[in-house]
Amino acid sequence: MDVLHSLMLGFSVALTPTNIFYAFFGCIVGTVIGVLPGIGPLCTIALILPTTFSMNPTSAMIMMCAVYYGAQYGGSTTSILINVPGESASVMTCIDGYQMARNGRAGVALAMSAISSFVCGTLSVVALMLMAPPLAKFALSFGPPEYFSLMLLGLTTIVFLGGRSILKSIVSIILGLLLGLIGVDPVGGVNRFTFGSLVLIDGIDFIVVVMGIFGIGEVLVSAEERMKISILKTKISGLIPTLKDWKDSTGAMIRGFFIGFIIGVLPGTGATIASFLSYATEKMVSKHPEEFGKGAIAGVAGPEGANNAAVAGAMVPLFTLGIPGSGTAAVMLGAMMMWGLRPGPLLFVQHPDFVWGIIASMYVGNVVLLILNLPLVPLFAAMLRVPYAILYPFILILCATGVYSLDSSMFEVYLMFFFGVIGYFVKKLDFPPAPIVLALILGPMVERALYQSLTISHGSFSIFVTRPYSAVFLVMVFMVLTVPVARWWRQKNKA
Amino acid sequence: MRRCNQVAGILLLVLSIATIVGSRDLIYKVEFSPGAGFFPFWLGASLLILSLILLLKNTVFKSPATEENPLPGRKALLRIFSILGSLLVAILLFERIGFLITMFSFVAFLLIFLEKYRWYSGILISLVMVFAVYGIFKIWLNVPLPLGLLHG
Repeated sequence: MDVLHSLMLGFSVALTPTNIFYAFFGCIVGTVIGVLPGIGPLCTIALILPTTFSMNPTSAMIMMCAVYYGAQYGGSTTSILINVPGESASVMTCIDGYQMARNGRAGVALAMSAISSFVCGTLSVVALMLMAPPLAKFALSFGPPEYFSLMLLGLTTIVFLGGRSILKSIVSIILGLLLGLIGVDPVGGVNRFTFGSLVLIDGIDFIVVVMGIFGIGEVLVSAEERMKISILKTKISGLIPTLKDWKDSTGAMIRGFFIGFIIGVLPGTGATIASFLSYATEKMVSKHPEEFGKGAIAGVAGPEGANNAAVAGAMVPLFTLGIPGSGTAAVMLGAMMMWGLRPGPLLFVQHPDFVWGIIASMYVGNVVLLILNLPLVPLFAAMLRVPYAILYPFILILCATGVYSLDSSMFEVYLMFFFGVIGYFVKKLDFPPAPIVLALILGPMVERALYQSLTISHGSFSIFVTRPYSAVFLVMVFMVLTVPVARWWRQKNKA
Repeated sequence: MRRCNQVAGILLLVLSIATIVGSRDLIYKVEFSPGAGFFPFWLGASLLILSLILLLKNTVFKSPATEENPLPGRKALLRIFSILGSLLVAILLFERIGFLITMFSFVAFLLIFLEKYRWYSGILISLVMVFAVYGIFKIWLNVPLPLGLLHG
């Protein structure tokens, strides 16, 4: 009853004309950037952040969330039509989606991915709605040691389940944490690594880093070779899936929802990993695994559903604990702090209209996206004809102007340029960039939690294992640490 | 890739040493709780170890060189330098000459000289783009953008 009551409150917020407009606008922007390769939700949300300072935080967050899940809808379009993932969570959709398009079934693939996104997106909002309030209540009992262990768990998961070189992932995290050191330290108020600069006392704004690494850096990597996009010359007709398609997809959708939501909730793992896992699962449970890679519709429905479910899943730790599960969620956390909201368990108590307004708007947004994506797919596909040569100068001036608009400070624009160069090398050398942003935002929180815990315990590290919840999180950290060892062991035994 | 990893390893090594040295100027411990230098010191120390592992992995235990060379060819390098160089010039002149003129010239340069658009379409696209951004920031969001030469 409580949930229903809160949801009513949420809808009363979400259904105001302003908020419907922002949800709609966010959905369109999200779909567009999802379709366009080379610009993802993380950079976009950072780009629109400066535009939100004069807005009501609820409307702003509604727009950002809509961009986030809208991008998951849009990402499939590029995967299916040109075999290039519009963003990283759509990589798996390329495999069977593109094959379906080559078999003349592009329309069905696009429709099924929109439907699956809708079903899983909506189911995961229901799950978010049911799970978040009790979790928030539970998290009220958490103190600094619990938060420290939980954040440690988040950072460990990124490293060990991120799928990239473990060494390089740890380096990325440490680089982010180091950047977070710059400025006044969070406990004693001492200036650290400011090099005598007054501007650096406030620390490096995460927007500057995000725009540098994900805006400028990404442009440099993509502009290196002129992208030749060849859109599959196929008519996007016959959107309606057959009965067999439905039969093949339903199970995939439901499994995709569970996988996506759970992966999304886990700190440090997100939509990309969810779609990978979903694809692997579908291939495993299928009666015809040989069809995968040749246009199996379950290989589209599963991952596309999973990456949408992961988005709502990622909102669970963000709203209840104030801990971001992914780079994009980290930027949202940064945004919430800039608006003066304190993310964490108290959010449900202090700002119910904010949290529930966003949850309700996610229902609205998913409907909007389904409507947008089914009939308008050809329109979005046509947008792929916008050459990258026009897109990247636009991204560059948006980044520069966006950063300048923060404080009217040229110093930050130069800093963004610097991070652009860094971002280029980071990507080229295969260091994962998202953990840098995540660690930059989490860094001061981790440090504060560590200091507070050790102050409580008079300097003894035993506090992290004697407090039961903290100990549980540390056990989970340990379990995550064993994953690569197990993988290595299995490979060795196989050989 | 191996050579690149070696260079990255050395740079990270330098960064880690700089961090450790820098953290020595800060208080490591105050009575019961750690001081401002605690976290930086351990981050620096971890980075030191990681950079050494990266160096060793790519120098002593020559990991199989399956990964291809990530560095761009000459043509791509030229493109990157043109983009970065023009961006740098644009942001250096941004406050002095003003938003509209700098950004217009920047986009027009990229489109006409780098992307080989015809001059009239290049100019047209740049104008539309710059005024769109100007509209968003200056008119809609009321951000003070430098007017530069157009001022007065």
